[in-house]
Amino acid sequence: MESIVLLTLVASALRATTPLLFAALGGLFSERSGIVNIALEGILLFGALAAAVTAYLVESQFPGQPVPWAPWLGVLAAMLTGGLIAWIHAVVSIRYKADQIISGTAINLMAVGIPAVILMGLFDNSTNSAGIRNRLPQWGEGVFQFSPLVYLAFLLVPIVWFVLFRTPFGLRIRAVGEHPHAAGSVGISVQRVRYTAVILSGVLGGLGGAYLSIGNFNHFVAEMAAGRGFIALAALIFGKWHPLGVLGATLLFGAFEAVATSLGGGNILPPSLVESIPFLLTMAVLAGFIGRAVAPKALGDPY
Amino acid sequence: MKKVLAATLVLTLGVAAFAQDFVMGIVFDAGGKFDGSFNEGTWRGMERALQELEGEYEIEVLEFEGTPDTAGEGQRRIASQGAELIVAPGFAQAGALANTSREFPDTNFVMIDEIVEGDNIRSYTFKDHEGSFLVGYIAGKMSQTGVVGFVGGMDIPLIRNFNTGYEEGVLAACEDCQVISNYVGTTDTAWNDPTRAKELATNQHAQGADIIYHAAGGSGRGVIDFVNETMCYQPRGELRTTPLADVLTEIPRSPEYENRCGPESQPLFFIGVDSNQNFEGDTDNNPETLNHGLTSMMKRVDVAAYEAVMDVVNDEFEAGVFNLGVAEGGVSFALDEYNEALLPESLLQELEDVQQQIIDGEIEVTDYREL
Repeated sequence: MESIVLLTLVASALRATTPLLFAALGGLFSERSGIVNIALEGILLFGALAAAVTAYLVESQFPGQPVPWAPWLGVLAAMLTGGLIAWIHAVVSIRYKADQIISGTAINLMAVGIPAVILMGLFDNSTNSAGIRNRLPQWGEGVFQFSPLVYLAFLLVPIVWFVLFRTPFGLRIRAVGEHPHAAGSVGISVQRVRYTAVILSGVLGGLGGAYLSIGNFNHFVAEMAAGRGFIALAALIFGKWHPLGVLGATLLFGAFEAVATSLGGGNILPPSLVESIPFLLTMAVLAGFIGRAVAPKALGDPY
Repeated sequence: MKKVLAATLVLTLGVAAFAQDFVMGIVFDAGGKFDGSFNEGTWRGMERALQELEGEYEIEVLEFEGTPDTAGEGQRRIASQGAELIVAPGFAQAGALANTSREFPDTNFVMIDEIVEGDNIRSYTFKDHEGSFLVGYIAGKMSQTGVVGFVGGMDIPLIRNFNTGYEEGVLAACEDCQVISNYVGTTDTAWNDPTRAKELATNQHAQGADIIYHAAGGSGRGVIDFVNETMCYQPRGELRTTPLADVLTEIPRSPEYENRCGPESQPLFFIGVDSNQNFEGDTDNNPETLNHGLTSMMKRVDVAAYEAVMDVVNDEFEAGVFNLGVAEGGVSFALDEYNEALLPESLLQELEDVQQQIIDGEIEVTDYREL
C-alpha cells in the first residue's frame, strides 16, 4: 500500500520532469551557442497549442473513426511551430542584433495573446481547445505508464550530450558560444550555427509543449505552461549548461513539483514553500554557494 | 454562435454596429467560457434564455473572458455599451462589481457565488455544502474501497465548503469511510491547471480512492481525464459490499474497458460539479455501456442566469440576495441517461429521504463559511 503511494509519487515526478527536460535541453542548445532563450515559456505554449489544434483538426476529418496517427501529427506540428517561433527569436536577435531578453519577452507575451485569438476563431472561446479523441499511447506497466514523449525526453539526454561533445557541429555550437570571434576567424559561420541552435531549441521546446497539451492531457488550456519555461531556464543554470546537469536539475525540480502537488490541501507543509525550494537552490548556485555555474562566455552578446 | 463571435469582435473594436432591443453581457471567471462546469453552466442558462427569445427580440450579447484582475475592465466595457444586464459568475469579480455597479446605475448586474449589495444587483449564492452532502452520500454508499477523494481548485473557504459538505455526506452514509482531500493550488491558476489536478487524482487513486469528486472549475477536467483514461483499479484486499456491486453485474463494459482492465478490476468514477458533467464519463459515445461519471453536484447557476435574462426582458428585474439550497432547488445531484443504470432505485429512495431531512432541518450540513 505505502509502496504504491511512493511509486506513484516517483511516476508523478517523472511526468513533471518531462516538459522541463524538453525545454531545458532546448535552452541548452540555444544558450550554448550564445543566445539567451527566455522565450521557452512562449515556445512551450505555442507548441502545446499547435499540437492540440492540429490533432483535433486532423481527426475531425475522419468523424467516428479511430485515427491513431492524428496525435503524432500534432507532435510534429508542435515541433515545427516551436522551430518557427524560435526562428523569429533568432532573426530578431541574430540578424538584427536586438536585445535577446526583449525579443524573448515579446514572444512570451505573444504566447498569451495569439492563442486566445486562434481559439476564438476555432472553438468560440478564448481559453480551451476542444478535447481530442485519439490519444498518444501509454507505454509501460502499472503506475509507470507514460506517454512515449516521456521516454523520448529522457532518451534525448545522451543524444544531446553526444551531439554537443562528440560531433563537429557540437564543437561549433560551443565555440560560437564561448568565443564567436575566434570561431569566425577559423571560418565557422557564427550566424548559421546560432540560427541552427536556436531553431533546434524551439523544436525541443515545441515537444515539451506537445507533452503538456496532448501527451498527458487531451486539450490545450490557456497559459497551461504555468511558468515551466522559466523553471526550465532555472534548471539550465542549476545544471550548469550541461546535459547531465540539466537532467539532474530537472529531475530535482520535477520531484519538488510532485511533492508539492501531493501536499496540496494537506496540513503538513504549505505546497508553495516546497515549490520555491528549487528556486532558492538555483539562487544559491548562481551566488556560488553550491559549486559555481559559469555561463557560456559570449551568452547574450550579438555577433 | 456566429452572432456571438461577431458581437465579441464588435466589443473589441468598441463600435456598436447594429440596432437591437437589448444589450446583455457576461464576464467569465478564471477557467474560461467552456470550463465544462461553473462558467459554462452560467453561459448555458443565458444561452437557453436567448434561444427562447430569438425572433421576439434582437439581443446583442457581449462576452468577456479574462482573469480576475481584468474582470472589472470587462464589466466596464460591456456596461459602457449600454448593456441592460451583466452576468458576473465568480466570487473573484465581487470587488470589481461593487465599483462598476455604482458607476453604471442603469445597468442590472447579477453576481453569482458572492453577495454584493446594491439597488441594481441581484446576488445568487448557493448552499454548496448541501449539494456536496448529497453527492458525498452517494459516494459513501457506493464506494467499494471505503476510500473516496476530493480535489478542490483554489484553497479558499468557498471550496472548503464543498469539501466539508462532501465529507459529512460520505460519513453519514459510511461511518468508516475515509475521504482524501487535496487542492490544486492557492492562486487563481488553480482553476486552470488540469495537469496538476490529474496528478492529484493519480495520487488519490494510489491511496485507494475509487470515487473522486472535484470542485475545481477548469482544472476538474484533469480529474475527469484521469478517470476516463485509467478506467479501473485492481482491488487490493477486501472490498466493501455496496449496491454498486449488484449494479455493475448488469451493465455491459465498452470493448476498450475489457481490453485495458480485465475481469478482476473494478471501475473508477468521478463526480462532476456545477454543471451536469455525467456525459463526460462516456468514453465510447454509448450511454448504454459503463459510464465513469457517477453523478454531478448540480449548482443551478444556469437557472440564475436564465431567470435574470428573462426578468430583464420582461422588465421584472429586482435586486436582492438569493441563497439557494436543496429546499429551493438550487443544488441537487444529476440523474440522466448516463448514470441512471448506476444509481439503484433503493439509493434514490434514500436520497429522497435525505433531501427531505435537509429541508426539514433534521440533517444540518455544516456551512464552512459560517464556522
